[in-house]
Amino acid sequence: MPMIHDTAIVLKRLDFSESSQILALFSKRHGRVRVIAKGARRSTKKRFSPGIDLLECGQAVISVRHARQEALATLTQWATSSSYSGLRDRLDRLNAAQYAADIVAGLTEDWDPHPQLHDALARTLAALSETDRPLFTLIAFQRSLLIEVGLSPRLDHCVACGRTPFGTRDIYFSSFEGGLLCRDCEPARVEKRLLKVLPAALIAEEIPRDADVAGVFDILHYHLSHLMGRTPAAGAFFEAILRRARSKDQRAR
Amino acid sequence: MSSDHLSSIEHLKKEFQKLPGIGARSAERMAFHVLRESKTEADALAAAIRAVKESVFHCRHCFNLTEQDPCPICEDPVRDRGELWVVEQPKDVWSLEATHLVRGLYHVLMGHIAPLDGVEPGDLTIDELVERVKAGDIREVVLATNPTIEGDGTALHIQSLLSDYDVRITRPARGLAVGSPLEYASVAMLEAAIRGRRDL
Repeated sequence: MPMIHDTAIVLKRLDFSESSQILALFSKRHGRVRVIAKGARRSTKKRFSPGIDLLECGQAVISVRHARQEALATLTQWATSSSYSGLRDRLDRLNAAQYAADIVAGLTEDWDPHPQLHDALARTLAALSETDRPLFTLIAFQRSLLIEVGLSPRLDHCVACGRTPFGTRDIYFSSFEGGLLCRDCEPARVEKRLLKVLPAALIAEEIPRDADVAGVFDILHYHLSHLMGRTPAAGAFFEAILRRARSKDQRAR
Repeated sequence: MSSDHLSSIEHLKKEFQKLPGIGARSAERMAFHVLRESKTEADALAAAIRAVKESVFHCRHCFNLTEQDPCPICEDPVRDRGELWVVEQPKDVWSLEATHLVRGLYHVLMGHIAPLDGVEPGDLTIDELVERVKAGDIREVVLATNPTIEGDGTALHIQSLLSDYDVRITRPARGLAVGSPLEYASVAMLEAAIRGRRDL
């Protein structure tokens, strides 16, 4: 029975019984792994840190019994290395962290390793637990994830005709097409959104301070929602930001 | 011997197996225990199960489980009506009551906000909580949700809703478990204890 030792972050957690939990872990060398942690809810079990919470990073020992994709693996040991306690001080940090975990869970496959994405998530959780501007940190992670899973949209030219620059004309974004559409190419596409954010703000290494940050987040959120086939769990704080960004968008039209 | 012809025993076993923490072997033991008991005992068990489903409901003020509305805690004239303890589940009220230290009233949220599981503020009794605070008698709201990511998120959300009202918002202390050696404390427990240390 192979045993895996790996660093992992808890993406999802479901209380399975009075004492056991089912967890979705994002491990560094094995990718997303679904495990059952028998007895994890009893604090007396010495092989688990007392209780395993969401968004914790820890050292996991996992027993894999069957053909990997077909069964839950068993978490036999868990030692928390970081709980990112600063996340719990502010709702925006907490919501941003949950959002980051949800998009990782939604866009990675079981047993498909992404060590760089794991490290990026760990860095993001650490940064979020201290930052006063979680939206900036979250946008950076949205972009890292899209690059890592190979689904980053093309934002430097029209994906249909290849033309650039766009000048002052309206620019559209299509998640299905994988990037920007110019005014001439957009009528033939059903799935698209008028872009209110300058492409430069979307691709800049560091988002300019005067950029419409909520608008950048909204476009990446739209793209991620399309890729995941559902809306990522934004939480109350980011839902309010998205509502404000969209109402501003509608007023501008 | 096959048990296929004993369908009523199998049925009872399956029903017991639905209970939390009860596996097939325990369910079988419980089913045979009921068989061994007298009919009076078995009827008493069935009556107790029926009674709990028919007579227990949620208090209209605090949403705790009760057999009378308002519940005895909400009706108790000795309780401090200025102190409101907010918990996730009715069983949390039982845990806090066991300390005999809580003198105030309760508000049961009936869960916690969990964006990853699709549980939103509207699914809980948060609106009713805000209405109770708006009524004006409450001077302190103790957010005693679980110290988990979801519990903390729920507490922060409620804090943001209540920040406009003239009410003190507190959270129970957290950190090391009393009676448990330091070596068994998790990183999270130690972090909370270190951050929340106080003068002796």
